[in-house]
Amino acid sequence: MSGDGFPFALPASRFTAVNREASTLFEELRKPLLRYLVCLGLSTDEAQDVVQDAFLNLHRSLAGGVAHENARAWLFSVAHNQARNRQKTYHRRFGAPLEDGALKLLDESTPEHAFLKKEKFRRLASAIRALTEVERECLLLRAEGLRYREIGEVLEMATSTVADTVDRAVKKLAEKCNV
Amino acid sequence: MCEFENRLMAWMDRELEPADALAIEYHVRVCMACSVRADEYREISRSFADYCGAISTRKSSRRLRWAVWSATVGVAATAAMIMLMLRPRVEPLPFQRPAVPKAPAMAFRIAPVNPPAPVEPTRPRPGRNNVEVSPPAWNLEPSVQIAIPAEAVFAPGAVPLGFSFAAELSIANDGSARALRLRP
Repeated sequence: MSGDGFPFALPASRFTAVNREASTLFEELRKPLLRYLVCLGLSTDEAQDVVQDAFLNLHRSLAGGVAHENARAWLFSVAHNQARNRQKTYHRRFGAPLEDGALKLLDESTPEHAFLKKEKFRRLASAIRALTEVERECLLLRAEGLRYREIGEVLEMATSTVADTVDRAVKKLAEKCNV
Repeated sequence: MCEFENRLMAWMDRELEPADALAIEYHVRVCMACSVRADEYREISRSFADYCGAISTRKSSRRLRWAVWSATVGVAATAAMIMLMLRPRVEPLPFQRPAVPKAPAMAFRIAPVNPPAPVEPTRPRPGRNNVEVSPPAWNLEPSVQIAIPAEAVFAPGAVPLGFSFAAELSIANDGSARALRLRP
């Protein structure tokens, strides 16, 4: 084994490891990230751009030797901040009631079920619009499977505050929707 | 209001310490109000997740419809452009008076009529019905041969060039045609 080849072996193996880690995270988190951004109010194209940028940043930071204790929270945080920069008024779009065409996609077995679901979504949309921005974001991140600690990292809040916010938001929804 | 009610969501999200979670789990089993609340929160959480899924599906389907529509219009426009570009340019041809076909040349020839062979008179035999048989009248009439070019009868190309037919016409005494024989 020559001495010249050894210095190049380490970056190559590291590059492969970084690629593998980034690919795994991409497969796992791409859809939840897209869903979160779209629900925030971004268009599908915008959401895809943001997700791509977030994973590009992740790859760069991993290749630069930065270790992320919680890559999922880091990715959601980057995507959230980029979405905020792109669309300051996205919260106005989330919570808009679904139109009939979208409700057909829900694959309800009978028209009665479809009607009930439509009514439920209408009430829910009205209740979501009444939430504060932080409450909406907390619920969205929770719906994507993030823990309270991760939500706190994304939204830069204490975990206890997240717990209170989630509790308050769910109670508001339950009260408005008359569940 | 139950003292555990404010921690129900954290308990459902498995965010509590094990000891606290155990205490609330036991409480929910015995407290009807908290049990009902927990069911409400589960239902609203499920509805919220469904709503988020419907929102993202709606936007994706809109994008898909737009993409399909754009692709259809693009393909149609491209096809129209290609057809316009590849369409053969029609140039008016100079007017040519159609050639008048010449009348087919026909040749008439009076064919020599062979004299009928002499018929030997048969001797009448006794006891038989002797009827004198005269030779056929058409054989005695003069015949006319007409040469007909094939182009006058058939379409051009159907028959080799220069091919003609000869028609033999036999005329009866009263001037009417008795027989017509066509031979190449």
